[in-house]
Amino acid sequence: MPNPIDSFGRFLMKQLPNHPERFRKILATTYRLLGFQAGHLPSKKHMPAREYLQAATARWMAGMVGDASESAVVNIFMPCEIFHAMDIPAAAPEALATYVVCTSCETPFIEKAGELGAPPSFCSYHKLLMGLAETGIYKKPRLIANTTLACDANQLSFRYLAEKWQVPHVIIDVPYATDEAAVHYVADQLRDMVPVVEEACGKKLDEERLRATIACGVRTQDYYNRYLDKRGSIHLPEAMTPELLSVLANHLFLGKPEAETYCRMLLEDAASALAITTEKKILWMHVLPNWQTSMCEIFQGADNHRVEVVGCDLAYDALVKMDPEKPYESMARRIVESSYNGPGLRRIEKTLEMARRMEADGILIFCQWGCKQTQGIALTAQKIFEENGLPALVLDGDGCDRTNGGGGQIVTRAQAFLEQLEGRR
Amino acid sequence: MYYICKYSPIELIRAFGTDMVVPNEEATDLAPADTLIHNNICSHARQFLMASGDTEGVLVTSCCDSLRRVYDTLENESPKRPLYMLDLPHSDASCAVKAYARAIIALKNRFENESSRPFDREAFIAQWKRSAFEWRMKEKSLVGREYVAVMGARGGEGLHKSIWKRMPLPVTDLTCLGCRDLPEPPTDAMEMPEEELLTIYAEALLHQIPCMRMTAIGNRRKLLERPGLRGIIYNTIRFCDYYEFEYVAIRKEVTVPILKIETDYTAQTQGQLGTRLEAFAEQLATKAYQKMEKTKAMSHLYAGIDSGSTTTNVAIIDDNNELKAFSIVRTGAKSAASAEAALTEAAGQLGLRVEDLDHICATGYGRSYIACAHSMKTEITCHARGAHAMNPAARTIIDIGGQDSKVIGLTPEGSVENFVMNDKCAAGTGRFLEMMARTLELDMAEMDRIALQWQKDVTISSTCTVFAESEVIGLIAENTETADIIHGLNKAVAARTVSLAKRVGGSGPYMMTGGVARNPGLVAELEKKLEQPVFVPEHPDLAGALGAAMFAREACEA
Repeated sequence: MPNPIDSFGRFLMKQLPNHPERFRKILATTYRLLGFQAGHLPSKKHMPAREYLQAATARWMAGMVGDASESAVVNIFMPCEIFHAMDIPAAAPEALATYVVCTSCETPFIEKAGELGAPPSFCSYHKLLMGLAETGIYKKPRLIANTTLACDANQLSFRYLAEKWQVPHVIIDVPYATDEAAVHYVADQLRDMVPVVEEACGKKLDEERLRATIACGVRTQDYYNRYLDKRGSIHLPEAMTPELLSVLANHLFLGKPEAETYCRMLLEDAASALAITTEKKILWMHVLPNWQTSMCEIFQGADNHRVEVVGCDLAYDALVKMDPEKPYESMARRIVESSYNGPGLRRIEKTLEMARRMEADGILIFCQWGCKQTQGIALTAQKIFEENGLPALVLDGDGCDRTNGGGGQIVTRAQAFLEQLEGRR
Repeated sequence: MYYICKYSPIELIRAFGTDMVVPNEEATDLAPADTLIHNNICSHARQFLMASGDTEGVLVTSCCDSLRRVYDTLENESPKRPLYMLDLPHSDASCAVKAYARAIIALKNRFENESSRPFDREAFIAQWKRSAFEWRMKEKSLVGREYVAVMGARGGEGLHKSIWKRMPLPVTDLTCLGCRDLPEPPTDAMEMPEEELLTIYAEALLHQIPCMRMTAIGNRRKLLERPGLRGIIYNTIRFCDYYEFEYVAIRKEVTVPILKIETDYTAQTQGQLGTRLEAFAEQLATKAYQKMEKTKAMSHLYAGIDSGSTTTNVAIIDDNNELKAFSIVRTGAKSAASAEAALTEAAGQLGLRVEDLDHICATGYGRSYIACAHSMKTEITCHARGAHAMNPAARTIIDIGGQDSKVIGLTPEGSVENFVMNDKCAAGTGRFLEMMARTLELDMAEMDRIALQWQKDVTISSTCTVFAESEVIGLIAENTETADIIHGLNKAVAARTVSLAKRVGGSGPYMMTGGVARNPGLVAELEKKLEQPVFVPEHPDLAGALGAAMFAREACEA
């Protein structure tokens, strides 16, 4: 029987060439309905915290597709508290890409990016966002603001979008160094960004509100940290990818009440969870391919009691000390001290630290197609993890382009890794 | 000490008596690097990693994701060797200049400590002057001359030699490493405070013509604005994404011919690259052949041989470009023997011997090995000429051969306007379809025959031969009808080919040549994707040979 999502995706893709507006409206309505379902008719299979943020996320996605004209387009690592404090929607086409691929309609956008000259080796998330903009599905925003962290692709795709849309473009240069001078260098750039945002959006920033937003972020990270303390000892019957929601909460949504509520609920869900028994605990590095049913079936912890993905390093990369009285330095510190910045060894050590904290059984290093940051440390990381007694699997795949998904080979490797972990009982 | 980036403060380090060298020779094979770092990292970074294995010190800048990870790998693999990481800002704004000056001063302090030698300001200024002089001389050498520029990502020494050897004009290196445009040091450099001097130096480094990783790249336009520029060879490196974007942007703007190449810092690409460079050189000199467009009344016979990877094709024409005989034979282990057999067969159809032919021109991969040929031309130029003769209305030629696929844009006169080829990969080529036919236990003729009999729309998402074979095996296991699988394969090849066509800026009317044009399923998919008809000539395999035969005729007339 044909997969209904694939059929829907095919239907959508047929609309795109001649009726892009229709495509856009159907997609926005679909995401709005998903948001309604998660908010008002939550599934009992999912934890309340996850359903809560899923609803907010789907509404956010619907907004991005529906009308992005008042938004600021940002990348995942851009601190968004300035935008939250000014009630400017911060939109992240990279995040939208994960929704689009789950709607099975990503192909024309990736093909479009190829036609525009994006090289085959370019990160698929960035290809998809270029395709979304070029086809008009993603509308011209007020401005673009991105960091040079975490990868080179930001430099290329966001520059391309700024030239296409002819909107102000702020680039926050993140040094490789992780010291105080680097924090001040980034903080100054964030300060300089404010008048650009004010002019582009016609709004004034209230510094008091910015401090309150940072304070909300501090509470959010505190809840999440306490959740992580419990995560290693509990069984959460859920799918492979919900930690993607924690990625949003700790990055783009940080400073928003929704993120704080989510992390508080997550802590409550963890408090009422059963103790973990036989499941193998996997710590995941980098993105999770939530479109890939075959992988989701292996790593979902809901039914098979074999394995659980207990954490994702994109969610806890920047749990740093923030001070609401120093909002710019706090935001800067989050980027500069992110485990994704600086020497690769920082990210490896952070993963080791979290693996010990959550008593992980193994680490999965997911090499997203085109992500040289992760590919470049994969073999060194694997070696170091194994020297520390932690089996590690390097898996090449793609979070949003199924042509790079690897098919049966990736599944075989993942299953063999699981069997390897089970053999260590 | 090895370094890698033009923003490196090499003058400062040389002032300590340390020689600074860019290890820029192509590797024989990059496979040994696979044990240290993922193979999808930029090829140049992998070459640098391998080359750095036997040096005493390495200076890396935080240029790009790949080089940052190369530094990590070097640090992990050989922790005792002196390694220096220099934090290079993305911007050249004043705060970035200060930050870079701090990094340079820290590097200077480290050198002072490690070498127990004080910083020699005089030597530093002398080195700076030398670099400024070198750039000034390079600029001067281009004044009042016509030249070809190599732009884009850096190239290895072998690549540059290969280009210099083939181009009809002087060649200048304007890749990221080739334009290190430092100004003169300040006149009071000996007197000013050291920190001020090194801040001015940091500013001079950051204000060079930017490379593509910098945030402000507007000044790169300077590279295109010199009056003597006659052609651009634009280099991209496999798994380095930065320069592909610039190529797309400037391709639309420049009025001179531009050739994009992809290299991988190995010597292995030289064969195919040679063909492209020669075709480009021919394109630069197209005016020469246009004046040869005249006819002769006397009847002579001219042959063209297209020595391809799968078949060797021969076309024989007369003075009026009329096709008199042709042959298509399978290319065996030796291309010269196949060429001779094909030529003998075609000449035999006219009751002639090979010696009776007035001129023979060879093209294709094996063209250099055909002893009986009097001249040779690249297959790009020959395909264009042959295709134009077959259908003068065609403006974009799609040619899918055994080991490569190419798209050629034609001018209304039939000259090559631009072209793209696939790279070192079977994806989307005749070889890909052959491999899939083998997996389906069919021969190619059978595959072509049942291509249009599909019922269910199957999608094969990969054109990578290895991945696609896995997908096909999976579909066979699911009892999917063979015709449906073939349709899926044709769709995948069509998608890749159309993407190539769009990159060349292709516009209709389209024409398809090469043996794969006999596959009606693929042609139908191409037509669907291009939303217009694709003309397939009576003898699609013969375009290259026909073009070569026409060049043979012109050679006799000249």
